[in-house]
Amino acid sequence: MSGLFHCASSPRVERLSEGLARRAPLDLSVLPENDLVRHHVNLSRKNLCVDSSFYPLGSCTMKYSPKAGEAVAAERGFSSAHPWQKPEEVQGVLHVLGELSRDLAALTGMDAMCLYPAAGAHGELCALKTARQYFRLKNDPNRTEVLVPENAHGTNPASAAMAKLQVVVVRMNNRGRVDVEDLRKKLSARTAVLMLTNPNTLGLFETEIDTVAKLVHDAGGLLYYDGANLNAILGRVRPGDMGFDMIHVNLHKTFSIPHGGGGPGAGPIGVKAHLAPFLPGPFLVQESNRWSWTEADSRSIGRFHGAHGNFLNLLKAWVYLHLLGDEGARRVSLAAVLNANYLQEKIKPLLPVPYGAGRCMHEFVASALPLKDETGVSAMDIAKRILDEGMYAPTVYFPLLVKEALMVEPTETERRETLDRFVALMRTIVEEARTHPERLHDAPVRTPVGRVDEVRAARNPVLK
Amino acid sequence: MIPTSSGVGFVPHSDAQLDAMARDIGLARPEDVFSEIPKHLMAAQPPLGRAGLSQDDILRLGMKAAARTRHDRPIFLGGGFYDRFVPPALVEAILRRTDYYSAYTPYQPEASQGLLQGLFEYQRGICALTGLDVSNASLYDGATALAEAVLCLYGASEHTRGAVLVSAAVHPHYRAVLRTYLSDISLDLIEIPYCAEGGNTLPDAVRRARSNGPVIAVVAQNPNFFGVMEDMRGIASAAKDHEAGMVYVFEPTSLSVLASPEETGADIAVAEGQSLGLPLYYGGLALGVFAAREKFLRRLPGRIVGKTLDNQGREAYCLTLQTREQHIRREKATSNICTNHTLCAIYAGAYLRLLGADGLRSVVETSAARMDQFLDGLLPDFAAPRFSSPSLFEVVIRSKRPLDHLPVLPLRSYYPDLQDAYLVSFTERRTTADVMGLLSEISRA
Repeated sequence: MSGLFHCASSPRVERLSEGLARRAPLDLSVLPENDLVRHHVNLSRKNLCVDSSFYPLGSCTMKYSPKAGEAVAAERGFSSAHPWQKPEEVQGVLHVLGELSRDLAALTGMDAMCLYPAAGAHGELCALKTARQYFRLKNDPNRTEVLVPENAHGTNPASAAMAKLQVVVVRMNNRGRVDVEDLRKKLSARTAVLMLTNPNTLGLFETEIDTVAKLVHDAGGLLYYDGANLNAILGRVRPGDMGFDMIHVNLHKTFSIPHGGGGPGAGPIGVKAHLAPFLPGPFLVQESNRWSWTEADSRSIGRFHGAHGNFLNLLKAWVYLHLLGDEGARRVSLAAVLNANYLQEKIKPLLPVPYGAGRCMHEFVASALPLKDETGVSAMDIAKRILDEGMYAPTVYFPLLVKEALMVEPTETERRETLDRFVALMRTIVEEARTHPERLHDAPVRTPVGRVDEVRAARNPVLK
Repeated sequence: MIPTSSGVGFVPHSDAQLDAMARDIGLARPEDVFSEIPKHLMAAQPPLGRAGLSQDDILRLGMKAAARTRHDRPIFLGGGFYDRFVPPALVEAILRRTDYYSAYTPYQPEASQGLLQGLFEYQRGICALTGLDVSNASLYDGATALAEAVLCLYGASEHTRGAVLVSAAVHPHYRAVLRTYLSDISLDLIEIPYCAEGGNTLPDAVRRARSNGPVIAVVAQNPNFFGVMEDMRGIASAAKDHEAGMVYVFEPTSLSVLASPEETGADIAVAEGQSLGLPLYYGGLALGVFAAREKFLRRLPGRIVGKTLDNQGREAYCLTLQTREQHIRREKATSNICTNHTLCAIYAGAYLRLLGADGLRSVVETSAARMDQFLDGLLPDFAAPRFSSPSLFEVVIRSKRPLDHLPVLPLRSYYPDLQDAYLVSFTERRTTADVMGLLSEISRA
């Protein structure tokens, strides 16, 4: 047919029995190669992306993805490696996985890593199941509660539910940190894990982390680090040193691999030594410079991925960490946090930052509530207006603790000039809210489509 | 010293610029931004213990590592991941297209129409392929998609406990991942042995299976892990007798010739989408395909894209039915999925459109033709097919001598009863000469 490959015919297929054969027609609306390429090039242009635009999407760490990662990924020895090739035929692949495990463990202060999880939420589930198994084999099976702060990412409680653990919400105090008194009340002999993001989703460092860790451990529970916000402390503070027992990291955030428009990502987990035997197998081991896989024993929770995790992304993270080194890692966190603080101070006169009295970390959460009360312009209106100027919008309406939230994360790879342009735009927008509010309600007008009717989409689902 | 045009750590600021920004916001020095972190938590040692490499260095190091992969001979490895032809047009227009890969989940639809339409076209392609009503916008891989399918049926059932019947001819890793996912849930996983002679799953064996509680789901794969074609209509009818949901694990190209999940009566169909022309990457550019009947729509895991209108009445796309999802429902969500595999899904959708029904059929026919050549040339003195039921493009052979040195998959670690058996897989990339080479290696083993 198409000349894509050399074709042959098989009587085996032509003579498939009635019971086995497909009867229904298969309509796939074919496009010739040229038109298909054009179609997708044109579609792709209807997106704002990190390589085209400032992308201050809070909690997503939309930093620049070094092209060296793409160049290394293009090597045929990686792209053509089959997952069931024998270890001696893929030593370079295994070497990359082994080095990445070692580096991630060093940066997070963990003893063992598991690279299988394909995304952050997949890592959360993997870690929670590992924790459950740990308690089960310790003859402590009644620890079935997962404590999550009220401003946690939605994946935390959802992952807990998938591991059939009960969610107990811990309140935040008026400083935007975990309310230690409330935590004390909620810890018990049923506590399995406290899941914590530090810095938290308000972009604030949990300054009482020592107390929190001690309380959790004294109650017999484990402390889990949601690595979504690791960029803020990279190379400076290690979750393991803060008392965390387990962690997931999002390679598509802190470790610069491209987000793929919503994946594939990678969400490796790390644990302290006492939890290592319960991780999913098989385990990667090195003996006299030779890498191989070894099956886990019955303490392991079992397999967690059909192959060996998202190798392509693990490879790009390996490239990134080699490019960084220690100096680069510390530079990343320094500039990420400085950029965020710089923006926070410049935005504050325009929109209040409810928990912004002190220093933020890699992100901060502004509120459009007073502006909305005054002008009727919402956080969503502001977000849509930003799109019109060729920038992506901050995360809106999260965390719920801040009304009309705009969560801003500039990352370290943006120049001061870009941040200043964003501030100037925000100033214009706040002025417009007072003078021409309709301009904001109507935004965006310069994007490929105007404001999309999401209610209609949900009421009358057209899905194919 | 590294030239810093791209900046140490890809940070564009010079030291002087960092100092100036710090002063601008009233800090004596940039490091003061960390003033709220208790001092004793600061790492005492540089964690990595090494300096950064130059870009030139890492490209060289990457090339060196990649060169250690053996690819001097054609492989006959399959088992869920296939050495398919990777169309350069799709690599260029999608995988390496920065406007796609450097964007994120399309939370702002007005600035993400391309991603959304690409996903919508993927959903449409998967629905056409499976015949089912709805597809989500992708999951991680085939194995986790199967686990999500069983959880979806469990959530939709009225039961709090029960059993899942899984054919032992379903990919061993899929069964293992499913077991892991179900380990904290009151669902017993019961394996239905495959027919020792045929290598297929007998509908009667499914029908006769007994469990302590209600059967929530029946899972079978077609072609199964041995490459053998299953009587999916029969298995689905046995599932109906149990009043259980039927999960059909498929290989995407094969549905151009094999009965679609819809035709067989399956409720949910899942697959590893890598075989839709995605590069292998050691199994690490996977794609979880998930499609279901309409009645499961509000229980689907993951993202779904819908078509709607904008405020000018123009056609537009957005993420929809989000009240199923973790960021809204938290612990009551149908799944914890957040990041999924968008880029792979858009690629797979485009692959379906590039090949069309005829092209997919050619993939299957060419692969099958190579297997025919192989079986025709296989000398009984050395090796023979292990099972009597027909395969499509993968076959298990029993060899008199060990073939572990060849690029075929030994099955003994998965199936203790298949000590001398190997899974041999064929794709459209294998040539007649490749097949002859393998035959000659087998006779010399």
